[in-house]
Amino acid sequence: MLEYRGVTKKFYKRDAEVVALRNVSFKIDEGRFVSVVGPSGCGKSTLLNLSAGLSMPTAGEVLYKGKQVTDINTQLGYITQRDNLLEWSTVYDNIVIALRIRRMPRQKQKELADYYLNLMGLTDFAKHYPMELSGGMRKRASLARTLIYSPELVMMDEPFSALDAHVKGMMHEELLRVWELEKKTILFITHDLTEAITLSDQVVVLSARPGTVKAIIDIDLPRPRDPFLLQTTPEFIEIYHRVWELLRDDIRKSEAA
Amino acid sequence: MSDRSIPLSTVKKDDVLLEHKINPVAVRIRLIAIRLALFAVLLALWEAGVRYKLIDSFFTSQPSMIFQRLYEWAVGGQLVQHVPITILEAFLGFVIGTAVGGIVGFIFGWFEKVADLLDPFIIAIYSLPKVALAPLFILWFGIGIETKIILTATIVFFLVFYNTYAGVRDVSRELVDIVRLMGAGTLQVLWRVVLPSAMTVIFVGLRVSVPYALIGAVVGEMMASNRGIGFLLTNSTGQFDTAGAFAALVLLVIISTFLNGMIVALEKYLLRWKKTQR
Repeated sequence: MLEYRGVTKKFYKRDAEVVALRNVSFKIDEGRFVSVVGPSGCGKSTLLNLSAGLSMPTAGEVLYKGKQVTDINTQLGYITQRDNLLEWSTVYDNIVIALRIRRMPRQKQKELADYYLNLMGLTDFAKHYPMELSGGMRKRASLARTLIYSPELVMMDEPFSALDAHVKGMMHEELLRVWELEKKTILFITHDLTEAITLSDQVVVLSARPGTVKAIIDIDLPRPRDPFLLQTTPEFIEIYHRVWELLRDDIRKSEAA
Repeated sequence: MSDRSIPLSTVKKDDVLLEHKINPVAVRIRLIAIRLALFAVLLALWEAGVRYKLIDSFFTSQPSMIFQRLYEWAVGGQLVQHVPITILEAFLGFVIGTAVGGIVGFIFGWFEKVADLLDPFIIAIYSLPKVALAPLFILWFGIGIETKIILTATIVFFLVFYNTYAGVRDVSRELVDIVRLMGAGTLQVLWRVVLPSAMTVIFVGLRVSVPYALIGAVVGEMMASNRGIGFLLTNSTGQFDTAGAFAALVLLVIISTFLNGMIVALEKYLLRWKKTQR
């Protein structure tokens, strides 16, 4: 579905060259839930911008369904840490924005919106403005807004990192439930190891800057998963320790830098 | 620049926990009653001070005379002759200044290169007190209504321009990217995201502009004209008619309040999502 082949990305900060990613190669198969973890500043978000065609690699290539990404990739959905809802529009209008952009007939918009409002438990809040919603509800609204236009691949950039622990746990449940239902391909960026292992089929570990792939770990935990129960099982803890060992030195390095 | 001149009543008060239940309507009515009483007391003191010769009426006039003068103007046709002119100048200047300032601000905000290129010029003109342009405008456009409209428009332009520019600059890049990934072209991004997102800041500019629009019109009239409230003002003081001067000021306050009310109403409607804040 999505493949990075020897991707290097450099930026320039005044005269200094900053290498965000160096020779990154991995791929994401269709229908898989893949997380990328790494210390802060390891170029995780750069990966997303490259796949979206918002910026181009300095070297190497990004392939989407076997074709090189050279322009904005409108097959993707993008969910960011800040939910970026349109504050001036109601929840309903927020959710259908992609459909309006694509000029879908009103009736069809309404049907889809009703389905996703219901799926995300937002039916009673359709006429509310984002400011009236709790943090969790805002997240569910931004999820609904993305899923509604059925992008083939959903990129999530630390979507839950601003939520408190309990709400975060509930969002994990929610996301897994919806993902089982829709079977989207998901590329999930996070610095939270527990989150990455709980949700994913595969975890890609990046090193400190310049970001390179340190390891790709398959998470063979059974599905469907219950995030709260899963996190106390010996299997989970074993994987957690393995990934943590890989990450520890790099986190130290990026902290020292 | 944009924070001042905003009415006190729009400063947001946090909801505080109260010991007792209150009836908001009753509280509001009582507040208005007290305000009216305060106003009445001040007028009464003023009037009494003049009548008992504590204050010299020549300098301060007195409320009864001011109302008398307003009544005379209303009956004598001066109101109809002068007030609409000032409103028209302020209004047209405001509309033109807002339109041009909004469009130019939008272009500057969206095309960073244009902004970088022209920035020093704009700063230079911005730092100029705009009323200093009045004599030149009179030379160029005469002493008619055009000069006042252009002066007003120039003042309003910069206020709206700067706020629009800042508003467009502040639009979340992420949000723009998200919407582009949904398939939106440039026009859709501008219409659905940038414009509404900048609207909050643009309105700050609009609200600040209202009193300034009147400055443009009145200063223009005071410098050269034979019509308008600014003319009434200079004409009254020229004849040592303080009651007339105060009457002109009362008219200005009424007009300014009215124009401001219109902007607030428009803002309430366009930015209604903000009012639902918990």
